[in-house]
Amino acid sequence: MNNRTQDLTGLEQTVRQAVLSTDGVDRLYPADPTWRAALKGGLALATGQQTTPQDVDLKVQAQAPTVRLRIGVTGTIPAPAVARTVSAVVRQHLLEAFPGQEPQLTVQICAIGKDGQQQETAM
Amino acid sequence: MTAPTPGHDDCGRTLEQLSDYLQTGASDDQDHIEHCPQCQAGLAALRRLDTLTKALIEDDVKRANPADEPWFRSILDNLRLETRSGRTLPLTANNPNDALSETEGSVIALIRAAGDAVSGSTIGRCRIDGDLTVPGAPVRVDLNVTAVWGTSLYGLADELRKAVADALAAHTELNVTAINITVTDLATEQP
Repeated sequence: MNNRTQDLTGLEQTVRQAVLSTDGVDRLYPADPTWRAALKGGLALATGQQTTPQDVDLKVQAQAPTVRLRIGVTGTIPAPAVARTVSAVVRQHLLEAFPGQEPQLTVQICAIGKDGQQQETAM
Repeated sequence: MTAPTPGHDDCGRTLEQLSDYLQTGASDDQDHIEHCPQCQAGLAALRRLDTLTKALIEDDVKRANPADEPWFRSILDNLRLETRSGRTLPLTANNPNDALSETEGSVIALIRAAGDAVSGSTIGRCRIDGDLTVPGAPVRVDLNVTAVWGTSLYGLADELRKAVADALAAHTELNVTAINITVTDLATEQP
């Protein structure tokens, strides 16, 4: 693992913690689509390697960082406000890590309400 | 062709048809399903089955120690989301480089939870009509409801409408122009 990869992994963890610490956030969902998660999991099993689902999709493209997140919110705070707070928090961390580079963020709310309440009635 | 569902010989609709209808809110056979007591009973049974299945899966995953196989948990999580995510509802962002949104599935679940919290009813079909992908576009919410026998239907409709409107106002930026509630069935006890 080179230094750049380590840096991004560390930043992903920082972002993850920051998002989960934001008022109104219940959890993070995997950023990968199902087919990709299944492929990675299958490959990991076949090769005997450990793999963990990626819930913070951080990339640095053309020197500009991009982050894609899918979150569940508790429902105790208006969901749109939570999305805006999350984006502001993540932006702050990215600007500290990549000074002068404007981050591009995608935040999608996938569940409103704690597990076992609203979300479980999605059918 | 799929065989008719046991117990549904009268109308011949299959569980697959009912399941599709329950998940999408749409069917070529919608008029029949909404007015057929056998189909309504089938829909109620499917909802109970779905709840039970989820509980069993959760239990199995816990017993299998998912910490050892996080990718498996990831797949389950994603499947649940992606099969029900629906359209993407944009949210207002403070920064032009941000793309914020909610899934239609999360909003449908919110509506169901708000409606189911009202005593004397259970939400059946739930559908949002309108162009959800355009900010500010007018949308209409259509709910089918099973009511408990003896409940004042006018009062129930008012309560449901208020509960759903409050939830949508708090958690979405939708321009809701109408919440239509149709009582499609009466039950002798809370379904």
